[in-house]
Amino acid sequence: MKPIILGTAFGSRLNLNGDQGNLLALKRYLVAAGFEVEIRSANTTQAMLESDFVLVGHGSKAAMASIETHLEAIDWTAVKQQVPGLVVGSSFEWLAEHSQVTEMIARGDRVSQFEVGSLGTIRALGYRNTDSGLPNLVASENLICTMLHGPVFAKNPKLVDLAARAAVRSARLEWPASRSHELGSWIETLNRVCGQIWQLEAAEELPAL
Amino acid sequence: MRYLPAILVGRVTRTAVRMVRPGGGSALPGLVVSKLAPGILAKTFAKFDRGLVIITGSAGKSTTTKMVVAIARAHGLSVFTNPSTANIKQGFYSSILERSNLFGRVRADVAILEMDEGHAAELVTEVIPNQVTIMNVVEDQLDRFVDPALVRDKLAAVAAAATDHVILNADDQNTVLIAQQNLNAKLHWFGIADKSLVKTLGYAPTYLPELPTPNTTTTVLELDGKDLKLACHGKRADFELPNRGMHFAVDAAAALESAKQFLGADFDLELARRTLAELPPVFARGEVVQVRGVPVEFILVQNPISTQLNLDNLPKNLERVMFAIGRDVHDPSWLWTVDPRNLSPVDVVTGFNVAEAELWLRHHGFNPALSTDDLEAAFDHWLALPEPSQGIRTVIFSADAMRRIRRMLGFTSPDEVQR
Repeated sequence: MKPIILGTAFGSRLNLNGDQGNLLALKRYLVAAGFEVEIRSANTTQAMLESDFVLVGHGSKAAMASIETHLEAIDWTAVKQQVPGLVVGSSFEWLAEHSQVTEMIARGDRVSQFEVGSLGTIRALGYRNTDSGLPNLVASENLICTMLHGPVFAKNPKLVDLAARAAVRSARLEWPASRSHELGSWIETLNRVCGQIWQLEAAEELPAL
Repeated sequence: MRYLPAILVGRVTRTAVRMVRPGGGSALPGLVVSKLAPGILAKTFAKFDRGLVIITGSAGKSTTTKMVVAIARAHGLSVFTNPSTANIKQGFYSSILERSNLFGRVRADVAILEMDEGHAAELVTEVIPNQVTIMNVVEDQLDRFVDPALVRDKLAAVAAAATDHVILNADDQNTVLIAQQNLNAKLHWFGIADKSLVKTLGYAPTYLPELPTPNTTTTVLELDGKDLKLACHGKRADFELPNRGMHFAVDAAAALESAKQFLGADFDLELARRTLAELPPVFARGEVVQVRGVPVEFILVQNPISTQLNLDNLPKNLERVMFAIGRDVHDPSWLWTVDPRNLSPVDVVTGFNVAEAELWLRHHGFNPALSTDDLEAAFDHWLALPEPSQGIRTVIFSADAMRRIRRMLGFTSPDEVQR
């Protein structure tokens, strides 16, 4: 079976709050589901299009300034149309500032707290630390854009499941018809541990997978 | 006389807090005094003959402050200082409450204060430091500070407030950038000779073209275990550090340079060297404590870089490891920036943020046998596990978990460790 390619854009610079942990969470989930996974650097349009899923994490002001010209060179329209992915924090802001998503920045008071966002019927918990006014979670074609930084996939089993199935489709592979023991066991662990985090940080229960 | 009511009310509050929480609670009495007598801070800090020395930055300020205080005292000075748990505004009021007479007067030659990097800029609008030492900028407490560049801006404001001396880290490009602004005070630099080691110290990258590294007047020449070789203004000062780690060596260099500047002609390098050589280790920085007759190594992790450095420095094949992340970690996302592959199997994971820690560990292939937010039950369970066949039991914890475990074990002195 060919490996599923998870691409990361400027991974060493866009990891300010552990955002690269999303790839670890996605990889762990896909492996539990029986797939081979490879994580690659994807800093160009071509490398992103060759990926089955792409992560664009959150970086410091200095990091964002250092990759500005590279971000400008990417054909975001093609990426959004062709590759599923996750865009976090400052990178979501960058897309908004450059009119690559429909959401607009409306600066206001900074929020620094755990929040729950919605993506369709999926509710997801994460840490919001921004004054941008951008939503916690929103879809822009194939990309999930979020202001919930850090390992949002790890804390939200339904969200990582959604991303994993999208990556599998992108790789033109089939999701297993029945849940393997390993995946079932991993989901059980995720539901238990994430349930505790939700209990601590959210006003609602974890929507278990 | 005008501060007498505030001091009395503050002391009653402090007594009440200590009855409820032995060994803790410096914030509330300070808060009370700050409301009743806000002017006491500026008035007190303006009255020390040898001035006000501030030590701030992201990491190392607590150790460096303790070192500078020890050197100053060894030189015969009476020093007013603050505990590391009281390095924000209320903490300074609490420290004044602790040391002043009933009229709010503190008798000391010099004030040497550790200041939180987030609060120091605001504080220097009220008090004027003679000397400021800035240790570094690292990616830390981003739930508070958002971005390292914002921390750098705050620290630049603190440096700009100094009247006599500013002491900076030559190996951190952030502090080199701070030095490019117009400073009123004279600049001095500390650093390490082997620049290949700088990246291990985790200073926040600026991603700008590298600025030339300034010449240092106090320099770490070599570190072998705890054996430090150091040069201070052309003279050698070699000694054994109280704790292992290059960051402690850098702290020592910062402390010597800082002491040299505010002591001026009175500075005695040999006396300073002996003082640092005799310092007790800082609690929970890799030192061993006897707990119910069992030796336990406590390791404090405070931010991504200290966690990574501590995990990287752990002996291989450790047995009996407990990992505790407490309430002080408001956003545990940063755990995911740390690579735990050098960590041995973890037996017990605990603390307020136990689930966050467990989630991170499990994604890295760890399978802790016990996971509970009940710190006391976790510790008892862990201590009852069979003796390790090699090495000693190791607790890795955040500051809140450390404070709770210390209270639980009845440790109220910061020096209850073996050298």
